Amino acid sequence: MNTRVMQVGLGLLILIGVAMGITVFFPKAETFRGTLYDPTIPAPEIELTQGNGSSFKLSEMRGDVVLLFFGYTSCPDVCPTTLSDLKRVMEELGPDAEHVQVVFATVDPDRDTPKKLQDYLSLFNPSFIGLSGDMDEMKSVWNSYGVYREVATMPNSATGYLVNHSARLYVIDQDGNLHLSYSYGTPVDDIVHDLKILFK
Amino acid sequence: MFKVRFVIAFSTLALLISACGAGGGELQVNDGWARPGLAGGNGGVFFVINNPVETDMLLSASSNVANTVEMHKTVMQDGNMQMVQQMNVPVPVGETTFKPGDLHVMLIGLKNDLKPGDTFTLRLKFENAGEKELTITVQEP
Repeated sequence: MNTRVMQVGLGLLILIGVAMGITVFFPKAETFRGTLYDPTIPAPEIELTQGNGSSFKLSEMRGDVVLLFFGYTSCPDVCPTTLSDLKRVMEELGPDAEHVQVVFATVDPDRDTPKKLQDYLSLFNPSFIGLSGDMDEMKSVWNSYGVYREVATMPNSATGYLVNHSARLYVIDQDGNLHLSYSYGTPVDDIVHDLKILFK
Repeated sequence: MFKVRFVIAFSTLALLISACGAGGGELQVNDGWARPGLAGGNGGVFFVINNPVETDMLLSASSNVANTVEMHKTVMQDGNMQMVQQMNVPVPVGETTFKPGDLHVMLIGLKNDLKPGDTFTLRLKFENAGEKELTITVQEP
């Protein structure tokens, strides 16, 4: 009986040892908190005009991480909230922020000129890039990223019209692939956490 | 016996008075802040209404810093943002918070830039509590 107990005990000890060994030598990969593109897919090209009037090409951002958001400058709530969050993301990233580019593409090209976008984004962080173009150019970009965008006329409002739009934040990694996305209101800490994984 | 009854009745009355008193006072609006904004653009204003009295109704908001002031509510549906104009906002007893992603006062057509540290006056008109004035401070984005 004693021998049996000792055999079982020894077996258990071996099992625990093997489990510990696996944990030490094969640590579990850190998991992303955002929604992962699995597998990642090449980010559709974006070629639009930026605030200084020069041309912006997404494919030229390889080597950096791009945080892409679609919004408009007349939006008083969701867009500035997201831009405030992105400002904090950049602050909390520290030196890694040098390799992150926030890009804000308009869903309201009739009112948002590249210059107006840039002035607006400077309120948050002068490094943020604002993109606009003509309606056809913008439609092509919205379609390629699956952006919902609809003009809502408001007859009783001085705004004239507002633009309902999807509020997703896209992460394009250093290789130009769509890697992650976040819903509106994702905590800043979660975004910073994921970006730090991308920089490892 | 009479003394005991008197003490019980007095205590009950005192309790009732203190219970009513806990909700006393008048409607107050605090913690007003706004986002920075550019002249010609729009802005958002946020605050907390504490209403200890009775159900009220916020009828309108006004300020000199913008051409028009409206009340809106952000509604997220299936990840899409929609804004719904509010012609008035019910203010039940308790706390009603105007906050990002929810109810907000929208400044349309800012007359000047709003920079962090700037202050301005916002007037809110309530059905029962009348007009309340509060100082809004522009915060860092």
